[in-house]
Amino acid sequence: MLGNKTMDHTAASGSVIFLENVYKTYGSKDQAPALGGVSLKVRPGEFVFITGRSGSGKTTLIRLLTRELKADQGEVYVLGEDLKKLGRSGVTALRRRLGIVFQDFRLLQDRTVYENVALAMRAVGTPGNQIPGRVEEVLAEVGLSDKKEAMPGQLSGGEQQKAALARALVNRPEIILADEPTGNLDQDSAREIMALLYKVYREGTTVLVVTHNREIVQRMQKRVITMDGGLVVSDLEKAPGGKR
Amino acid sequence: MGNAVKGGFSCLFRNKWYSLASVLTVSVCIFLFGMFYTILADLQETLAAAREEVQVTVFFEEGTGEEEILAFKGKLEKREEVAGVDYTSADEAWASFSQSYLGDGGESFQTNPLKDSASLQIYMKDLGAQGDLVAWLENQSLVRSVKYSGAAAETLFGAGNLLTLAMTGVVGILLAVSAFLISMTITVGIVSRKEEIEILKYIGASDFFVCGPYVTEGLLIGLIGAALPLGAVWYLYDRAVLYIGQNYTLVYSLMRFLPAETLFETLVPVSLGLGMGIGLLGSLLTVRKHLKV
Repeated sequence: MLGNKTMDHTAASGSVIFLENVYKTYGSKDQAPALGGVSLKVRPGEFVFITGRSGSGKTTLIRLLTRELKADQGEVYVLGEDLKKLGRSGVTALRRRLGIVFQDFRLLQDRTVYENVALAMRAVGTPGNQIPGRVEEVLAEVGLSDKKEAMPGQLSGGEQQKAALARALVNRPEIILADEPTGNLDQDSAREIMALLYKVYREGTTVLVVTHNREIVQRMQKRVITMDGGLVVSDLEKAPGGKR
Repeated sequence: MGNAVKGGFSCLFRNKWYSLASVLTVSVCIFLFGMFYTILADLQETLAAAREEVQVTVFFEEGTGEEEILAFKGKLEKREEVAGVDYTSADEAWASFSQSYLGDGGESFQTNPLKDSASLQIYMKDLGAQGDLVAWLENQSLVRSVKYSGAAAETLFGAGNLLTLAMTGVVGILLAVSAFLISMTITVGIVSRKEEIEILKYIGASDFFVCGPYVTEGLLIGLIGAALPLGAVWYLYDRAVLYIGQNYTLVYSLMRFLPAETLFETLVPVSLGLGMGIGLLGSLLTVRKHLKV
């Protein structure tokens, strides 16, 4: 048993994300599994797309990586942490090393863009005097310096997603997990968000994007993992048929 | 800690309607509690005063000396159901009688006609035990007779029991009403807080960071919610006592009204504690549901 664990850990080393034979079923056990034996590895500094139809298991995968859900079976390692063994404080510590971006932005509607981003820094205990400078810096990176006092409701979808991205980036995460970040955006805004994610990747951060936007996947020419029926059905280093 | 305090005040003002609803919920509970407490405390005070009036008087056999009577008094004072014992000597009894009924005519008596009228007045701690005490007294060799009012004791004992029952009932009803009102308010809180708590957990906030502002907010709501009705109860109590005094003199003479200061010595800490407890509990229950994200 100990040998197996050592082997798993060794296999996980060198990866920032490591899944082996992961199963997850919602509700009773006779239901079809949302994940039915998924294995994959993501190396540090990679840009990876997870694609697939609705219900293929993409979002379940993300929720496992953030430890919102626990796998029924199999190994899940994120940044060297065995998620099966992680307690509440461990989950909090892990999430501080991740930047999470949602399709629906999840900004606090009663706070300004600045306050939304600063909250992420206050939540991890950053000293107050370090917050304004860093928030200004990251808002400038995503091009929202002039909207910092705006409330989310006053922004376009693309701007809201930029604010959400700024919040994810402000604590300099090791991995960005983006679940359908362009799902609610028009084509131009979607391109802008992907350009920002690409920039983050170029600066050395691992980026994992769940999307069903084929145009973006084709254009970016990055590694593409395709899921179907809770399984990984293909894992390609580049999207097939790309022009880049 | 700074986040908890600052965040608590921010939460309070940010969610104005939720805060107002919560403050009103706590206020209603504390107001009802305060009103019932003052009424019941006055009734209890009246009852306690009436109990003091009820006494058992013991007369002794002819020739029983004062020393024997005082020794008997000491014995009685050691009994649990006895609150106190007063001794009236034969001379005191005659002086009191002659002053009341004979005036100056009493001086014509050379000897004390009530020379065997020394007595003990026994005040009961537990009126329910009066019957047993009387039976015991009647069996004592030096006791000639025992005077007591069984009916008065029974009435007051019954009233005391009824008051205890009423207090338990009222507290029970208040708890049920509070629980209902608070659960309604919490439901509103859960809906408005769910997303905020989830987001905080996703960005790596600790449970303390997430809970801190809500706990402070709950305590503040409880504090304000308790302080407001306390002021109202004080004002209404003062006005009510004054009104009864002016318009219902019979009730006023029968009842014992405690001064508001005396009532509030207990009511203020209990109400503030209750209010803050309700607020804290409400906040913790609201937040706890969403911490497991």
